[in-house]
Amino acid sequence: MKHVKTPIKLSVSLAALLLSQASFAGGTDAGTVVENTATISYSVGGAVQAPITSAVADFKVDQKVDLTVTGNSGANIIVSPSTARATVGNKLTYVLSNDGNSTQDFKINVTHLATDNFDAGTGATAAPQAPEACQFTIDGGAANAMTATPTVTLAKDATATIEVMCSMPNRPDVGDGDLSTIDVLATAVDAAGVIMAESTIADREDDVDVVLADDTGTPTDNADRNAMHSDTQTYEIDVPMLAVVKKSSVISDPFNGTTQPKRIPGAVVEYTITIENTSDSVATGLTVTDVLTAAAAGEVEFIAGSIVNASGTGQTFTAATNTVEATGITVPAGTLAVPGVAVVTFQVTIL
Amino acid sequence: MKQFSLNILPISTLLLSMLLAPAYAAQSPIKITSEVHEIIEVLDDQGKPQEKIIAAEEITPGDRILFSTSFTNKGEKASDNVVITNPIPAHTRYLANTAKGEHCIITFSVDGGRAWGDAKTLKVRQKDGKYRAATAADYTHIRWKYNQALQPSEKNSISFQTILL
Repeated sequence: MKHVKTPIKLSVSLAALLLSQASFAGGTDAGTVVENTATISYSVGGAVQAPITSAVADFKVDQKVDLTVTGNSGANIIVSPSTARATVGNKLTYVLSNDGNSTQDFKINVTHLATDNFDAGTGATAAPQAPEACQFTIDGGAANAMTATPTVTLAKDATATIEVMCSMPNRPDVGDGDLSTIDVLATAVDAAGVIMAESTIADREDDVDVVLADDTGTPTDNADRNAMHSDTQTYEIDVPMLAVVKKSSVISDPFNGTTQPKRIPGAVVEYTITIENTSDSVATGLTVTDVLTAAAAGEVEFIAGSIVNASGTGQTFTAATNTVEATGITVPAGTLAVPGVAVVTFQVTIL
Repeated sequence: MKQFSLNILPISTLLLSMLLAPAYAAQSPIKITSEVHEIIEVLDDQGKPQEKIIAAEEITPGDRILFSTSFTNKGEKASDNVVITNPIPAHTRYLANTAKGEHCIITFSVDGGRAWGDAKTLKVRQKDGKYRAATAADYTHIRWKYNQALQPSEKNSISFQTILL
C-alpha cells in the first residue's frame, strides 16, 4: 500500500546478490503458486528425439503472519514535570511493520506498564499543568484515547507509525528520575477482528494455510508465534534541583580603601547570589529577584549598573520597588558533590 | 560440437514440444516426473540438527524446498545424450551446491539458458559494465547431462534445492 511493488522486489534481489543469507522481509505473496517443470532431451540410436516436459510440480505459498513493534528510542525519553501533552518532547514514537507475506489487519493497544513509578497523564495534579490523558495517533491520524483499540491495515512490508503523547504531572510524589512506561501492543487480526490463528488442520498443498512467525516482545506479548508483538518506551522525569545562597562581602570603605575594609557608612558591599544545580539536567531561563529591604529602609543605596549576570541574558534594578532582577540564567548540570553553578552579583553603598 | 548445439535446443523447442506433446506422448519412451518437497531441520537423539524431507504443505518465505525429477526409460532401446534442463522456479533462489545427480555433469546458466558453465566460469555483467563471478543467486537454469546411456527400464533422478523468497 505504501510501497510500490517494484522497489521491494529490487531490494530483495539486491540483498540476495550481496548476501548469501539474506533476510526475507515479507517474502513471496501468500497464495502464489510456485511451479517447477523439467525438460528432458535425448537421442535413441543417434536420432534426436523431441524433448519431453514433466508435469508441473507445484505448491501454493502459505500465509506467514509476522509483525514487529519497535520503539524509536532505546534510551529513556527525558521530560520535564508539569508539561502539556502537546509538548514536542513528550512524544513517544513506535513503528509497526507488517513482516508477513500478505496484507494484514493489526489491532493496536496502548497501555501503561504497572511496574513503573507513575502513570503519565493520570491522577490529580496541581497547576500550572492540569492532567491531560495520554493519546495516540496512527500515521498522524485522529487522536485516540488509551482505551481505544483501533485497527490498521498494512500491505506486505508496509509500516505504520504510532505516536503516544502524554502530559507530565506537577505533584510532589513525582520527582527527578521517576519513570512512566508506555507499552504498544499490535495484534494481527482477521477481517472480523478475531486474532489470527495457526491452521490446525492437516496442510493442504493447494490451499493457503496460516503460519504464525512473530517473535516475543515485551511482557504484554510473552510468547513467540502468537500473532502479537509489542515494545515499550519510558518517560523519565528530569527536574533540575536548585539551591540559592546569598552572601555579602565588603569591597572597600572610605578610610581603609580595599585593604581590610570595614562595613562603615560609605563602604561598598557586594552581594553574591549563587544558584547551585545538583541534578543531571541543565536549568534554563531562570530569573533571580532580590528585593533590597535595606534600601527600602534607607540603610543602603544600590550602585547603578553594578549587577553582573554572567550566566544570564539581562539584568535590571527597579528603584521604585528596590528590586534587583537578573533574567535568562542558565545553570549547568551537576552532581551533589560538584553542583553546576551560576552567580549573580551586585553592589550597594552603606548609607 | 553437434551434440552441444542439440543440447541447447530444449529451451527453444520447448514451446514446440508442448504443442506437439499429445502426438509424442504415446510414443515417447522416456517418462519424466517432477516432485516438490520441503526440507526442515529436526534434532536427533543427540540433539544434533538433521535434515528431514517432508511434504511441501506448509511453506512460507524462507523455507527450503527440494525439487526432484526422476526419469525412466520405458522404451526397448537405450537412450543417449540425455539432458535435463530445469529453470529455477519463480519466487525461489537456488541454494549453492544442492544440485545432485548420479552420473551427471551439472552446469548452470545465468542468462536464461543461453550460456552454460559453473561458478568458476559464469560471469554476470554489472550495471557499470564490469563483470563479476556469478553466485548461486544468479542462476536461472540448471542442466544435468547424463554421461552414459540410459538403458531400457533404467531409472535415475536428479534434484536441487531452493529457498522461497
